Amino acid sequence: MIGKKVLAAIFAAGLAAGLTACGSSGSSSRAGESAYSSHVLRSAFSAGLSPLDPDTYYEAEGLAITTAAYQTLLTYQPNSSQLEGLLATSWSVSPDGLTYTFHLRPGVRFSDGTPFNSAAAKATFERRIIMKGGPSYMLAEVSAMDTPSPLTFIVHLKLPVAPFLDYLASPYGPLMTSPSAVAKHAAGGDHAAGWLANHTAGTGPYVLTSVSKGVNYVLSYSNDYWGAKPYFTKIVFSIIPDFSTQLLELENGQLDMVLHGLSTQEYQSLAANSKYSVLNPPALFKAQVWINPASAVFGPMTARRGLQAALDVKQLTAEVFGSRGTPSTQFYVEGMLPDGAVPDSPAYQPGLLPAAVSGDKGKRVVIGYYGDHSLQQLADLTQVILQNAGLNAIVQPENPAQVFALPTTPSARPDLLVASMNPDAAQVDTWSRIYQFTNGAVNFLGCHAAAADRLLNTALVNPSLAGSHAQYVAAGDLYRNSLCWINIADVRDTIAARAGLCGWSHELPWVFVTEFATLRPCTQ
Amino acid sequence: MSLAIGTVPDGIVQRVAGLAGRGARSWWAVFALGTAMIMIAPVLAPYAPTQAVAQPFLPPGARFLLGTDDVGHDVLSRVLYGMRSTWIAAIIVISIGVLIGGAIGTVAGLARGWLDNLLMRVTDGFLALPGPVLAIAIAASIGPSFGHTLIAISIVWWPYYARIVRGEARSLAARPFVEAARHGSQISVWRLALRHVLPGVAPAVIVAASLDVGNLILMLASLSFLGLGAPAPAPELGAMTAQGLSYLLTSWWVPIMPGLAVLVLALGSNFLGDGIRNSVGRHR
Amino acid sequence: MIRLVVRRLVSAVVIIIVLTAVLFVLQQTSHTNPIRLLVGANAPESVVQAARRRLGYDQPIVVQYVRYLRDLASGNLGISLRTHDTVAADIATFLPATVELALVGMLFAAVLSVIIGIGTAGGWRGSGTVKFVTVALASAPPFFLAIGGILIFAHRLTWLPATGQTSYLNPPSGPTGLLVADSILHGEPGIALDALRHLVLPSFCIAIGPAVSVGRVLRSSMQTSLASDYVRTARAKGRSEFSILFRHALRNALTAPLAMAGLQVGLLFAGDIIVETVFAWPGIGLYVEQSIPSGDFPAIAGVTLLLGVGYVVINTAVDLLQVAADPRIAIS
Repeated sequence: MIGKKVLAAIFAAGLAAGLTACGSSGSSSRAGESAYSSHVLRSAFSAGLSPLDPDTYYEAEGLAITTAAYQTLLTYQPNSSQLEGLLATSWSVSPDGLTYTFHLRPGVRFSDGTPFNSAAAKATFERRIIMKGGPSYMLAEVSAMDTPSPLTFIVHLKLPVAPFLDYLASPYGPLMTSPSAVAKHAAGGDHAAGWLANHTAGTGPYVLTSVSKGVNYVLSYSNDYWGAKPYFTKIVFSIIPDFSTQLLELENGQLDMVLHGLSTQEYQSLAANSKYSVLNPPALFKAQVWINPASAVFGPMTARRGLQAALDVKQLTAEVFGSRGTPSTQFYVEGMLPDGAVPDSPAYQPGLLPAAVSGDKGKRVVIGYYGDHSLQQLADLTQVILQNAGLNAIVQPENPAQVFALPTTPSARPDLLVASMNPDAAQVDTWSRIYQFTNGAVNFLGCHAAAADRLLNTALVNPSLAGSHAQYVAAGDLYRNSLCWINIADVRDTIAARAGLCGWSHELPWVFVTEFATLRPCTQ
Repeated sequence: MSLAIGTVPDGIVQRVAGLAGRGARSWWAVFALGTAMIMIAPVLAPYAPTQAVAQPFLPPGARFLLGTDDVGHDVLSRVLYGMRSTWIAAIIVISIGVLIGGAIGTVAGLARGWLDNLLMRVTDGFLALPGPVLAIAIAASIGPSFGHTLIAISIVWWPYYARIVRGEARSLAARPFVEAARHGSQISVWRLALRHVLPGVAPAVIVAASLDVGNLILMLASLSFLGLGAPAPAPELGAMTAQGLSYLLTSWWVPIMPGLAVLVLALGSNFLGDGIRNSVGRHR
Repeated sequence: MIRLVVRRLVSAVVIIIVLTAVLFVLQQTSHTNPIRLLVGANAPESVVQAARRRLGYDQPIVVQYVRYLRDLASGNLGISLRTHDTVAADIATFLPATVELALVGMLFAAVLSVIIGIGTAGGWRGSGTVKFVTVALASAPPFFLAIGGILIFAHRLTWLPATGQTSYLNPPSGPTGLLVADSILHGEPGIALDALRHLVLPSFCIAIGPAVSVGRVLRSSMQTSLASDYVRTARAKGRSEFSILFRHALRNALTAPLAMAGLQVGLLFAGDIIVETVFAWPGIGLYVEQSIPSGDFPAIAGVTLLLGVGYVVINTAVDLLQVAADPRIAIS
């Protein structure tokens, strides 16, 4: 009997040793992998995608498909908040901000061969308004549209909309869709929503050719594409729910690219290995600690100030995000406003917190977090700080269904929420209106500053860009002073791939995606 | 239809004697020792399990035998506390299961007729509940916590014991001595149950429970892995493995150590169960 | 026999009603907002409310419950809030993969439990080692086993693939829905072999727990049976050891192991969810695991009901098998 137990212990130790040996060696010895000679790129999603209807899809992972298959009128320059034309070659705005005139690019075809023109643009806008999906708010003020010539498209608004051009450059903005495809596949008045769930009809370099439910998605090069033919003519996304498994497949050579989801340590270990490259293009994520104004401990301003001073932004960013994040120095997401417009760099003073919460010793504080292991680690580190200050803090994960019920369920709100959110476009209104506005759709903990809201509303309808800019800055100052949100880091998008790929390109509002059409082996 | 699981041979007296026999005594010793050792984890653990004591991701070494995790906790301390909380949870769930299941099974076994039928249909109903999915659904809606998960598992665990006890009670009820006791004097059903039936049922239940502990430990760890159980920073073995998975290839000790701890606990319980069953079975 | 089946049918209906009631209550008490996830996290509140009205989620809970039961009676399991397909269609897509995994797993488990149970009782050489190794492996939590399996066999030794059901982009989806069978029927032995390679690790992880549980009970029953007068007589008559083991002792030893097997199939699902998640196996375990974070109630309810009904079916089958093995049971 004792002998068996010893054997069991040896077996367990052997298992552990075997696993550690695997852990430290890391790389597989698959010799002779032909690097990309088949023109096929293999990546992965962590779950099946919601329907990819261009006017209702409003989630993250599917952007890999919608940005590859569809295009917008305008676009952001890579890594910048500067706008440039994509399907529109030039545009002008009337001084009262109510009329936008776009000159469209000639010679563009949809993936079904039909031409792109002003009628198609108008049909796309109309469809978005009719579908009333999540992103339909972008066209809420459109009153009429004109198509005086096939390459001229005019949009009339009821009110000025300061972020309108940014909406048109957003990956969730109006995606030019072939009206012939919509007409052909419409069924029972659904405007082809059923067909567009698993098919694409855009002007982009790729088209969705195959969807195997629960298994994979395949993009293929669209022969009618108006631009340069990409090197990779086929992109396969397998559904692999577990990120550790995605990493293993990357190391085994079965995947070429992991678009998101690994831990900072794993990215660091990959970056140090010459067989892989890790890209950190800037994005619009802001990692923050949100404060519940109804919290018994953190309702009072002194406690909030103490908490803000106790979070060493530089050290936390380095520890949790490494090279994936930069410490936050301003209130808004980096890139939305000229740096320094709304500064937010409180000094690190760890002694303030214990003094501020000395009367709350032993009180229970719930720290919720929504997101991946980085957010979890950030929440854990915050928990340690609170614990050292004498509070009884616990950490609680909030899954998506729970976290998005928080705005309407005050009783379920934690005292603090650690989350990393991103807006639809690189424009202040797309950020503050949903996250900071009173009763904003995604204002999780219900914190607000009424005066800032008023400024935001004024800025929205200000036809003068300089004027609205000044008002957004003023609103930002007020939101910052409310101490509802403690900024930690500006987080980047992170892509891990097998080494040897060049031609990387990324736009600020993109999430978990890279420009596939410009990728090619470095030897090409 | 009676399903006498874990068929134990005839001879109540022999079985009870088996439980106290020489072979079994060593196993009771191991059980007591194991329980005591796990209960004094607070004394054995070098650091508090929710206190950050050093740099994160320190590999196993002289100062921290199992290294430190992503926040700087001592992994050894967390593992010891985690094993303790798993063991306590297992004992609680099995006790609830044995109590509720035993009560229902005894009543059903002795009562016969419509009461027996009704109780067994209820038991079958609970057995048909897909336990893990139900536990997940319950915890997902009322919030994950140690208590909620225990309740959810207990709900699906007791029917197993109800069936065993009922089977044993039925076969005992047909014995001459029970018939005699029932008809012979003004003996109440309660005393009948306590003094005559329960001792006969006990060996089968104990054997079943000891064989069951291993399964229960794995079920608890699995649910904890899926995110149900006490919220962080509580040391829960399954949760520690799940949260540590992203560090598997860079700091392997963070997820592997808690996983190994579950393995050790379950393995020990399985050997324990085997030993008890063997000792009881040996006396024919 | 007929009475048994009828009784089980009735209990199946009762179970469905109770389960749905429980799930509805849970959904009500939970603080989730799956509708917002349905239309997109950043959507304006007006869009969310419109969707809620359109799908009937603004009705009182009792109205929703009655409507759900009525739909259920006509085979309508509702529409998944996550995939936007009908839950019935989703289940039809994902169930065959789980069935294939479960069948191969149970086959594995049967073979292993025979070795553990009959082999150790009958004193076969090497059975003790097999028993020891499998008991050790069965003591490992399923996630540990799965990850370890991938690390060792896929990463280190590269003998087996790490994830998925197949390495082929468009495998045949023929009559049975079971990839191995369909590939053979379509005359694609290469795909079938590849499917088998993908099946090895996950089915082993599923099989190990039941194999040990059933094996131990079988061993105990076999030991009893081998010591009985019946077997002693057979031995005295000079029957072969094989015949004694399988024809005489086994027949009387099947009751308890079969009951345990029935129980194990029910417990199978907890491990199945984890195994399917880690191995990215496209079955209903994966489907349910992805439905929970989004609070996709119709999907969770649909799978739970399916499992509940399936469990009743399996229990009935086990009971019938037990009667076939030991007719004396039917009398009690």
